[in-house]
Parts: sequence; structure tokens; C-alpha cells
Amino acid sequence: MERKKILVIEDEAALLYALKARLTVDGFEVWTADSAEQAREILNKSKPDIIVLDILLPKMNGFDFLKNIKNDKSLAEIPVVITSNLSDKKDIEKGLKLGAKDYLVKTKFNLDDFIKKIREIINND
Amino acid sequence: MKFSAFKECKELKLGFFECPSTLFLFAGFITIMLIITTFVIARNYYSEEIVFLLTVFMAVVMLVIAYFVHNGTSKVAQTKRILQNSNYQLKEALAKLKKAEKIKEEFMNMMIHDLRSPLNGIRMVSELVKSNLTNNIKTDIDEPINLISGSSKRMLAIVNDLLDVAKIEAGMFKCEKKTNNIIKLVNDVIKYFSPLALNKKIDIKFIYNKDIPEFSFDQKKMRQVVENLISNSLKFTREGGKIEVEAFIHKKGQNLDEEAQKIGVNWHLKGGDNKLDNYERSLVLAVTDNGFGISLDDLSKLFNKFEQMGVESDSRQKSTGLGLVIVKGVVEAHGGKIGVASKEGKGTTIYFNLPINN
Repeated sequence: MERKKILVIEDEAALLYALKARLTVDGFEVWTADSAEQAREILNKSKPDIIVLDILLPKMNGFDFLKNIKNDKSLAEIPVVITSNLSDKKDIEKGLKLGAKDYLVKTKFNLDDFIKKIREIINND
Repeated sequence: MKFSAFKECKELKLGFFECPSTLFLFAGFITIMLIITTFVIARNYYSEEIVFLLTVFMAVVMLVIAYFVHNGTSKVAQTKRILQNSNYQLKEALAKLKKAEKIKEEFMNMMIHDLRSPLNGIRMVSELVKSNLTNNIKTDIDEPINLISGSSKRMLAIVNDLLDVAKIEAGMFKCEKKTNNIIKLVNDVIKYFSPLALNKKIDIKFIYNKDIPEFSFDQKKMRQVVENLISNSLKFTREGGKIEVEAFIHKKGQNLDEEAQKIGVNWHLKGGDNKLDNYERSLVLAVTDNGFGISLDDLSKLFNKFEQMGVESDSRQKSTGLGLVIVKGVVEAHGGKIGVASKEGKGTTIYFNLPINN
């Protein structure tokens, strides 16, 4: 079976390492970016099956990045899962309104929950 | 009647019957027309004297009416102007309030990011290592340990900054002064930043007078001050730029700009306070860069908590904006005075003095 490709956009090196390691063990092909700009470069070359997006990123933030890819016909269909430290209702609503499949508050999930959620979204897609 | 009066009506968007000038002209026109009509009609029936008196009477009546109309409309215009001014002031206050709210929101987001991110990183990496051990998955242990260590250090630095600011604001910030060598301290900090400076191709020079004696200051806190200033300059200076750190003895009344020029440095003192007259003799330390510079509007907010400058930083790391609050707090706790001078697009000088007792 072909490995599912996942793009993880996260600027916290330790968290990025943990997510990448766990996703790799679970059979994903993991691409990583520590900024929206770097992620855009990756997306210009190839398309993943799912995107994991942080919100508080250097320079362009995750909301603007999400808006950009949803406005791009070639990328709009890729499911996006937000993982963020912002836990206010208005931020969650904003992310979902912009087209994210789910919004995970970082302080409220562990690696098992994360993998479960990613699998669930990929299977439903 | 001045033409500026018409212009004012136009600016205030007053209608034809609200504008004193147009109404006055209109009333004048009607008056003249009535006088002419009265004169033409009346001369067929009455003697010349009566026609003359009637005309004068009509003219007076119309002038009185015009006067009252003018007064009335002037009041309308005045009231409208007051209302428009109040409206403008309200809009301005609202914009300021919104800006302040935005600044606080950005600061809160920055805090959430800087504190929660490393903590989550540590939590997830620990969880991963634990799960790998449980499942007998062989992985390299050095990288996760280094990541945990890096994240902890970064978070500790932010927590320390927050505690320092809290102490400064509570007036509990104490200095532990001992006789120390400021030149050695600055050299050590420059050495510490040299890999980062080399990476950005920024040249850091230290220019100082040889006669600077050892004097009493808090070594640890002063290192934090110099680190914050150089780190800021590195952040707001383009690749290939330069940073100059200067140290010299300043005597009361001397012009700082001239003193800086004596040792070959051009400060960005336009718009800045170039006097440090709080001591007869003090050490002046300044950090000058040829970076983005700071606008006059931002200069006044430089040492405020929450405030981030309008210029876009070159650095990938956003800062909490607490660094300069701490710098000011430490300098003032030593009895010193701090100043800033900057020119947008040219660069910035941040300078301060410390008393030398010996």
C-alpha cells in the first residue's frame, strides 16, 4: 500500500520532531516545514494527502496560510488539520470557518489522539 | 464676504440654507430685488418723498432680516463644526483603543506561543521517548534530549524575563553591585554573539577609551543589558550591516554626539536627547547599528511593555518586547539614565550611563 504523504508545518523544533517521529512509525511519509513560506515552496513542487498546520508561525500566520491555500484551486481540496496553542473559541471558529477539517488545541491532545485524528480524517476523505 | 467662508461651508458639507455666506448673498439679492420692485410700483401712486421713504424702510427691514438669518445660520454652522470636531475626536480615540487592544492581543499570542510551544514540545518528545522505550523501538536518544534541553532553556529565559519585568514594575528589582570590568563584559558578550553575527555577515566593533576604570555594577544584570541591546541590533539590522558598541567616560555638560565623533562614531542623535547630566562623571555605553531604524512615533513607545516596533524584523524569532523594558529597569536600578536616537532607514543608537564612584 502506498504511504500517505503528510505535510507538518510547525515552528517548535521539539514538537515537530515528536510529530514527525510518531507519524513515520505509523507509516506516513512526512514532509516538514517550520514556516508558512517554506511550506508554500514544498506545495509548489508536490501535493500531500493531508496538511497539519500550526497557527502562530513566524512572518505569515497559519490563518493567512490556510486562506491562501483554500483560494488556490489546485490545493483547496487537501484536508487541513490545525494544531495550535490558541484555545479561544473565536480562534477555533475562525480556523474551521476558513476550511480546516479539525482544530486541535496542543495542550489538549497527546500523540495517540493526534494519530487517531489524522487517520480518521484520511479515511473519511 | 471672504471666499474662505464659502470654502469652509464646502468643507463642513453645509447645505445652501445652512451656510451663512450663501444665505447672506441670497438675502441680499432678494432685498435688492424687493427694493427695485417697491420703487417701480410705488412711484406710479405716491409722491417721490413717500417712495423714497418706503424704499429706505424696505431696505432697513430686509437688512434686519438678513442680519438675524446670518446670525442664526452662523450658530447652525458653529454647532455643526463642534459636532464634527467631537465626532473626529471620538473616531481618533476609538482607533487608538483598537490599536491598543490589537497590541495587547499580539503580546498575549506571543506569550502563549513562547511559553506553551516549548512546553508542548518537551511534553510530546518525552511522550515519544517513553512510548518508544515501551514498544522497544530503537531510536537515537541524543536528538530528543537536545531538543528537550533547548526548549527548556528558551522557556526559562522567557519566564525569567517576565519575572524581571514583574520585579521592575513592583519596585523590587535589586542590584548586587561589585567592582567589575565593563570592557571585559562587553568583549565577552560580543564573542558570544559572533557566530550569529558571522551568519548574518554583520560586523560588530567595540570602540572604547583606554582610561575606563573598573567600577561597581551588577555583573549578571549588566551582561543581560548588553546582550539585549546587541541582540536587538542584530535582529533589526540587515545582512551585511554593522554594529558599533562604544564606551567612554562622560563629564557633565559635554555633548554626547561630539564625544562619540571623537572616537570615530556617528550616532543617530537627531531627535534624541544628547545630554546625560545626572552625574559629574559617568560611563557611557552605546550600541549603534545601521539597521531599519525606528520612526518618531515608535521611539516614544520603545521602552513600553507590550509594544512591538512597526519595522519588520529580519529574525525568524519573534520577540516578546520585554528586552528593552528590562534594559531600562536595570540601568535605572543602577542610578543611570537611558536614551535613544534613531533615523528610519539609517539606524539606531541606544545609549545609557552608569555612575563611576572612583
